[in-house]
Amino acid sequence: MPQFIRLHTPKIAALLICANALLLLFISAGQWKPLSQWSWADILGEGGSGILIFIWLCLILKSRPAGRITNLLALGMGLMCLAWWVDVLDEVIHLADTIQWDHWLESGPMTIGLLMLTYGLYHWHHEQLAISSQRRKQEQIFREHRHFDHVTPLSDAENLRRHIKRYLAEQESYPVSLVVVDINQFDVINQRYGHAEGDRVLQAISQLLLLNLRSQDLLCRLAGDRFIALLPKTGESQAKTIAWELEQAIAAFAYRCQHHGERLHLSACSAVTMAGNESCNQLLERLQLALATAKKPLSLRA
Amino acid sequence: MDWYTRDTKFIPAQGIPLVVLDLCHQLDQDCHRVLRGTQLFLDDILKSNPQVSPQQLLRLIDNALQLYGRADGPFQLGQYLLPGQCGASSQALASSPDLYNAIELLVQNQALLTPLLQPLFYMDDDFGYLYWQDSCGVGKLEPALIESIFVAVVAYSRRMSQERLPWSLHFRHDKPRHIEQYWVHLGNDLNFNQPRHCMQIPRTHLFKQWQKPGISGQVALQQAKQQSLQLPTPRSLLASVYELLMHTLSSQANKRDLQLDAMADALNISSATLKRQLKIHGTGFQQQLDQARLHRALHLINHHKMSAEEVSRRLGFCDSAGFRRSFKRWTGFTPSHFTA
Repeated sequence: MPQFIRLHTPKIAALLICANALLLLFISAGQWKPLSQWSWADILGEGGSGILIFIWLCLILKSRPAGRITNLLALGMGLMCLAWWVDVLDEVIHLADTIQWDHWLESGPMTIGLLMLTYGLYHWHHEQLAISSQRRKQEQIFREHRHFDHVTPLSDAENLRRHIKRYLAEQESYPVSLVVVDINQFDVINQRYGHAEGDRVLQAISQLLLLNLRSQDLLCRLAGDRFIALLPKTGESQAKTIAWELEQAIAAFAYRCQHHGERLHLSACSAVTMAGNESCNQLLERLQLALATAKKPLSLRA
Repeated sequence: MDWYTRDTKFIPAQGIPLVVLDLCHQLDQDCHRVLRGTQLFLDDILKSNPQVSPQQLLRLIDNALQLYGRADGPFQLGQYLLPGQCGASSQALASSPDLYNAIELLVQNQALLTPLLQPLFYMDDDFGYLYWQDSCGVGKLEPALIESIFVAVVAYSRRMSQERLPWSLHFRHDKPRHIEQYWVHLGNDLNFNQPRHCMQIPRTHLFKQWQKPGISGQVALQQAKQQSLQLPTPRSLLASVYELLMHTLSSQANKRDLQLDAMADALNISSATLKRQLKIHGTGFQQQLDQARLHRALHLINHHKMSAEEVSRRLGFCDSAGFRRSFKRWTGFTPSHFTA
């Protein structure tokens, strides 16, 4: 049984019981119409709408954690679903003309459902704003879930490129700098402690770097153990300070392994470039070269 | 037969296939789905260590990369390929005294260590060149496998030497979208759209000692040699054809030896069988011949500094214009592009 059905059994059960009760009510109050009087176009249209709303309801329940807004959305959609169900019943069961409550049963739940849904969506909007502000340093202006990194809570190189391109296009007014941070000897951690531990180190480091950045900065994982921070309105000297601080933060970070609590001594190497008049890929390539120079021992540097 | 084809079962399942499965497991993939279509079962692999054909291994890697679905798949896999889990050969690699010995071992025990790709090593006064080419008809997986094996060699040599070696890497494919993976795992000296996959390294790094050659290393080396002798088939069919072609091309033999019939005779099979086998490997005789001629031409141009006229005469072209045309067709560039 999918997890969302287990989580939301009461809601789904209530919906099914209501639908069943309505069916019984209609049968007891009226008579089945002969097949020849059924209007198939109406039944398909109304029934189809009901089924679609039910699918939406399932998707919402499956994709959201439980909570107030989920309840509001589910309630609204459940009521709309019932309204369409009453419509279908109306098509196949004939009620005496004196009965008025069936009209109320049709439009009442629909109106209340739409109101609930609207109220829920309004709160969802606020919830999204809150989440976006939390994820601000990870995504700034774009969100594309296909570009989420699969290990850390950051986005990947593709998303970084989109941001860089955008900043390069409007760069005249202020400088933009990039900082690259590369963990030293990361493959040793992967080899010695396993992949899962390596992933945990990356997650911890991404959180640590996020804490050390300003709210307008954007942090991405380029690949492997290499992170890039995009710093708008920042000149090269200020970016160098930030890069140095990031290195210090990693060096002072006491990461402990999950199993034995052994302390890992991490260190990182960083490099900085300021965006000039160039394409996104040229800029990134220049940054990689700067990092390669920074990684060389002092004696070998040209 | 002293060569293996796509269908020859000789790869121990607890070697490379298990490395792939282990990685999939670490990355939270369902091992049973990864094994789908390979006719292999996890229990069998763990209990009886069956022999696997290159085709099954290819399918396994293809499944794993597709299920994982991210650009860094081949790069993750590469981290675990060398020295790997291939018994004595891997042990000998782990105790290799320097890069030169490691590469020699890699070339000799290729069928065990890298059954899908063929390494070829050449050295001149300044550089060592480790070329890689398809040995089993890997088809569309070639870029991914090359990524893996390059990462494997780069990561292995970095671990052994405890420094980043100045590899210069040449790829046949175009510059990919996920270039950042190359930067992080392979370094910055990257060249795309090249005629051959090649890893180039200054000669001094080949002979820099990693560790003192100890007795256990000697024993491992001997066992690795025995391991390769026990293999029913030391080389792939494509590698055998390639070697014969290269030998014929360099020995100034007459043109008749460069035909399908002569090649089939030399391999002790009928020409129809050779034709069929090449087709199974996704290639044809003309394609193999063209590749060998290109490699011979590049060798003469790069390492013997010959002019296009001389090369065309050596390769038996009637005139140098014909050679230039063929060369352009093989690589997209004129010969002078590589002499400069």
